[in-house]
Amino acid sequence: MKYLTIFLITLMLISCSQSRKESEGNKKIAIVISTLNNPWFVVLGEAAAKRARELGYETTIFDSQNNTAKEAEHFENVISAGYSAILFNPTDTEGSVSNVKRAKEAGIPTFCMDREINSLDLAATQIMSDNFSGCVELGQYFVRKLNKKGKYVELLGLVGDNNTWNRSKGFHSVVDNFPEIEMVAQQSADFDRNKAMEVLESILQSHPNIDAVFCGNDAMAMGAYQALLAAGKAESIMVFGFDGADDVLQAINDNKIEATAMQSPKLMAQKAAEFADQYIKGNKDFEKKIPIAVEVVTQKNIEKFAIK
Amino acid sequence: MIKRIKIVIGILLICLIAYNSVYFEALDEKKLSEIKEDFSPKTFAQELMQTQINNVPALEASAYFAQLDSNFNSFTKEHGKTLGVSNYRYFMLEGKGKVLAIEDENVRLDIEGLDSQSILLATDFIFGNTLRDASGLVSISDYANTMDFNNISVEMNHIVKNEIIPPFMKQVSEGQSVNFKGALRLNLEEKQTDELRVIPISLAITSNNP
Repeated sequence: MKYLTIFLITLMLISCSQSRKESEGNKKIAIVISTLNNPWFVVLGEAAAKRARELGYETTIFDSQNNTAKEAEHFENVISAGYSAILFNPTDTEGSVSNVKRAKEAGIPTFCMDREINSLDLAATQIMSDNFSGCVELGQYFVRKLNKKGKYVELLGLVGDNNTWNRSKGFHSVVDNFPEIEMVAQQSADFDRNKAMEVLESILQSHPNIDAVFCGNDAMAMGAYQALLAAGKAESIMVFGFDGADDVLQAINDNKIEATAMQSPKLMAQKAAEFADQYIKGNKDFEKKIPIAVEVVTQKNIEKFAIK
Repeated sequence: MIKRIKIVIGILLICLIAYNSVYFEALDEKKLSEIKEDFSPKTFAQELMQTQINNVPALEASAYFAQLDSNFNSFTKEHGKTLGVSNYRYFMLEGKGKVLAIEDENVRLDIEGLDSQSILLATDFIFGNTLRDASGLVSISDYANTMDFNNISVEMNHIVKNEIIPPFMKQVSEGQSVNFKGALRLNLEEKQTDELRVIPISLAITSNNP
C-alpha cells in the first residue's frame, strides 16, 4: 500500500510537470493590426509574428480593416481563446482604449505598436516612432529647400490618429515660424495613396502655383507625386513624405521626391514581441511609452539606405 | 406571492439605482485626468525655465570634449540622456569661450582651455526636443497624449528664442568672452564632435574688450 501511494504521487508529479511544459509550449500571442491593406502595416504585423515565433509562441494576425468594431470583435475572440499577450496596432487613439481595457481586465497584456492610445495605465507599454521629432527635422529641411519662402499644401493622415497630429504639429512647430512660407490648403487623405492623388488634383485646380506638398506618410507622397506628374508639375513642385517606404526611397534616389523620414516598423515590432515575452516570463516593469527615433532621408544621404 | 415579487423587484430597482449613482475611481487616475484637462504646456515650460532648468547639473565644456576625444563610448553611455530607442544622446553643458564669428543661425565660440575646439551657440532655428531631453526634467510616461509632451519642447524653445537670445544678440561681438550653459545633442552613429550646436539657457558676456 505504501509503495502504491508513493508510485501514485510520483505519477501525479510527472503528469503535472508534463502538462505544465505542454501549456508553456502552447502559449499564443495575438497580433492585431489596424489594416493589412497598407504594406507598411503588413511589414509591422509580419515582423511582430516572426519575432514572437522565434521566441517560441504560436501567433495569429488579425486585420481590423481600420474599423474599431472589427477590432473589438478580434479582442473578444483573443480574450476567449486564451492568448497570453496582444501585440496591437490600434485603429483609433480614443476608440481603441476600451478594447485594451477589456484585455487588461481579462489579464492579457497589450503592447501597442506604432500608434498610441490615449491612456497611460492600460497597455503594458506603447512603442512608437518619434513622429514629432522626425517632422521637426523634416520641417527644417523643408524650410531650407524653400529658402524660407513659398506656398505649400499639407496632406494629413487619419484625423483620429495621434500620429497624424504629432507629425503635422512637429512640422508646423518649425514651418510656422517663417512668415513668407504660406500653407494654401490642408486636407486629409487618410494615409491613402489614391485618395491623396484625388485630393491634390482637386487642390491644384484652385492653387496651381504651389512650391511644395508635405504629406503625412509615404503612400500619400506617392499619390501626390502621381497627381503632379499628371498635371505636368512633377519637376517644379517638391514632395515630402514620412515612413521610409521602399518606393519612396527609390523615388528620392531618382530625384522625384525630396525627402522622407525613415521609421523602423521591424524594430518596433521586434521590441513589442520581446517585451511581451519578458512580460510573460515575469518582468512587467516597462516605460509606459517608448519612442523610437526616425531619421530624415534626403537625396544627400540616400546612399545610407539600401534600396531593394 | 405578488406582494413578494413586488418587494423583490423594488429591491432590485433600488440596488440598480444605487449602483449607477456611485462611481469609484482611483485617486491617481482622477488626478491625472484633472491634470490633463488643465495642462498648459506654456505655463509648464515657463515654470521649468524660471525655477528648475538652471539647477540642472551640467558638464564642463573643456572636460566634456576631452572625454569625447579619449573615451567616447563609455562617456556617452554614462553621461548622456536619451529618449526611447535612439542614436541621439543629450547633455547639459556649461563653459566659457571666445566669440569667433556671428553667423546667421549661430554664434561660433572657441572653447577656453582647448586647442581649436569650437561650438555653435544657437541663435536661430531653435527647434526640436534637445533642451527638454537634455534637462531630464520631463518624462514621456507622464503624458497620456504625447502631443502634450512635445508641446513642452515647443514652448521651451520659444522662451529661448524670445527671452534668452535677443538681449545677448544686442551686445555680442567678435572677440568677446562668453559664459554659457545649454543643451546639446550628439549623434552616436556619426560621432561628430565638431560643429556641435548648443541651445542656450544662460548667456553672459564677461569681457567687452575684444
